[in-house]
Amino acid sequence: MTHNETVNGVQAEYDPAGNVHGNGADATLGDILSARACQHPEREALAFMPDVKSGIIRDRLTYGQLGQHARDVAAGVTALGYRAGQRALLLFPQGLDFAEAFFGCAYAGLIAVPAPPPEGSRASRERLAGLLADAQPALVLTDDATAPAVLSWLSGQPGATGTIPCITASSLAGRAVPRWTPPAVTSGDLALLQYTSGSTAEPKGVMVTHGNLVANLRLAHTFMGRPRTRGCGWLPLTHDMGLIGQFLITIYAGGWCLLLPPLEFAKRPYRWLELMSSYGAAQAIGPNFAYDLCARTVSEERIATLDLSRWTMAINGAEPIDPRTLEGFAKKFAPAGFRPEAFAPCYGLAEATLFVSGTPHDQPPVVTMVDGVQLALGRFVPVEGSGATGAAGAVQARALVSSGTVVAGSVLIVDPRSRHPRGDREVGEIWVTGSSVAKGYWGQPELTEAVFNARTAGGQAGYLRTGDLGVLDGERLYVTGRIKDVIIVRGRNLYPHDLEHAVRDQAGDLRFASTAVFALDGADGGGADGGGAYRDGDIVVVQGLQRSRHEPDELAAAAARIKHHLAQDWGADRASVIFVRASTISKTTSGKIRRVHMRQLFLRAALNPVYESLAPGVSGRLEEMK
Amino acid sequence: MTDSPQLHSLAEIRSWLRERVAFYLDQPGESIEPDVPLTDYGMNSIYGVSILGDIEDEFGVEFETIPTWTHPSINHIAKYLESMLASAR
Repeated sequence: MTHNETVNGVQAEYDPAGNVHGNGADATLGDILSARACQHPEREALAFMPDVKSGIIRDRLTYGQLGQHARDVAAGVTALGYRAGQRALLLFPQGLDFAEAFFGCAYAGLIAVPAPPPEGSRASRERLAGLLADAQPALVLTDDATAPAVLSWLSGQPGATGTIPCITASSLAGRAVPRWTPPAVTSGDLALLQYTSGSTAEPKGVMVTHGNLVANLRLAHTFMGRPRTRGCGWLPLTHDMGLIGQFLITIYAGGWCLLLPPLEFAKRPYRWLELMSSYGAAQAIGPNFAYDLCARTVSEERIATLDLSRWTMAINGAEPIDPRTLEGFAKKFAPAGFRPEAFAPCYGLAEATLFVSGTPHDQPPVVTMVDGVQLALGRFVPVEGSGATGAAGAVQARALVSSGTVVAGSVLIVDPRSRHPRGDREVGEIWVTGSSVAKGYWGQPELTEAVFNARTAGGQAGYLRTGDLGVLDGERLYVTGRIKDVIIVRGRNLYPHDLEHAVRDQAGDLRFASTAVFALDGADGGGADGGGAYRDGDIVVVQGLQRSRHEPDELAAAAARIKHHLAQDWGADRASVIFVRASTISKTTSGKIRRVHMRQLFLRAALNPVYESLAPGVSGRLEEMK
Repeated sequence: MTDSPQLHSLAEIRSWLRERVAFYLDQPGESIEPDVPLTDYGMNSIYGVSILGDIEDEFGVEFETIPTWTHPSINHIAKYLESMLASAR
């Protein structure tokens, strides 16, 4: 049972665990923090360990301190003349100063634009420059240590010199106006511009309101079983998954979270688990690769020292969930008490704030073997056991990990071309509606209309197009792939990761590195017009080789084997096979194959093949495309 | 874990590195040629950072920032590490 009470003008709601929740659909982020700070000011909310090897927590914040410091920031920027609706670019390294500045913006009605500080690679600096030009912030907030780098970067930005002040959070503390009156912020106001990792040239800032965030946090917290969370995480707070799934959920739940720098995790993955163990953390969130990295690298000796039995929610999302990762991790860490049912696959995207579907805390992850032939035809047909095929020419069974359940009515599966809704157990594009769907892309009304206000052939309007393909089995969602990656061969949808897997099985004595498979006639750009220019036809296999010297005969034989198996097992009988050096296969930092980019390299003849065997007519087609 | 930098020969460093790289790539150490850039073996940036952590733990050194190697090979990293260890002594 819950009961309501007014705390300092903020309606608060308590659940049986004694947690307090900002009230109802019209709460803002500020309301939630105020309620927590009022209810349990002395409770520690966040801790930060900059160096995981040391094991020393350097910074801590109670709810009372976080609330007070955030109000100092808000009062400070208000006193400087900044007004609700202006954007504040938040350039902080991982840490608690970011948390104060983020909630400072929420109190002041400023729209927070989180981004990593200008350090590191040229690509990330270019991305930041694109973001600056797009978001047009009125100010930059940073910390003392980062300010010099920010100032030097700003001075190199055309039009930004002298016009965008860089303000450190520490300088605002002294400016706090004692009788500061918070501006009226409502749930419909923008709280966040979340930039998605689109191309540098076309940054896309997703407009997220206070109401979106609160609705999405409520959804996530419900999946988690409404606990007072105890988390440990290293995801960057500049990224939606880290910001919402790690930091804001903690505040919403009145819980505690130990934050670590992302790089420290990559350096010592085992320390994440050791800290989960020693602090008795129960909730953690990460992409598939993080669990994979731990399963591959943590030694048996270290596992023997871990106690992961209190881990109840291991959220896995943001990239395709590999059933082998779930199995491998669960098996490896079983001696430490990790329970496989703690795995909670989820699905989401920044355009829907974060979460669309999730696996409830009291349910194990669901992995279903489906008939690959039927799946290629757009139908979800479970098969018994391992589902090996036997029959000549049949496509093998495929294991699909469910991304959990959706709230009834929030997801519609739609044929991306005809826009007719598809039935239960039929594959189509995932369309989303509801209070978590963001308002659109900042400054891009046309793209916003196309992506955020899609309409079915039957006239149902107001849906978000995700660009992802999936299927609903009742309320259980399975994500099958990205529309722009799908390869159509004679009316069947083939998923590149399946074909890439099949190609790697044909290595023989060669040492294969990564593989990229794509359609010659891809839907360029994908995304908004997911219906795209689908044409039946050729597929291209680009296979990385780990050694630089090979006998041409050996490569020719391997190419023939690949073509034979793609034709026999997958019905893809027009394949071109290109062998390249391993480093030619382009990947994102988290190891995802950049297939669209690989296709562009192929079309520009920029792959520098070690060996190639093109399907008949392809070289002619390439000439035409020039 | 070592507390202070110790003397390691270039050959020792090289063979230790080769074993770590082979571990991340999940293939035999003898298949890694010391002069071939690790990216040619499909080494990604996350494993690259994990190896830095292993180096810190093994040799008792500290990387304040990520070294800006472009396409490093085993020999490349081993030489870098040798001079780093020498200057730290």
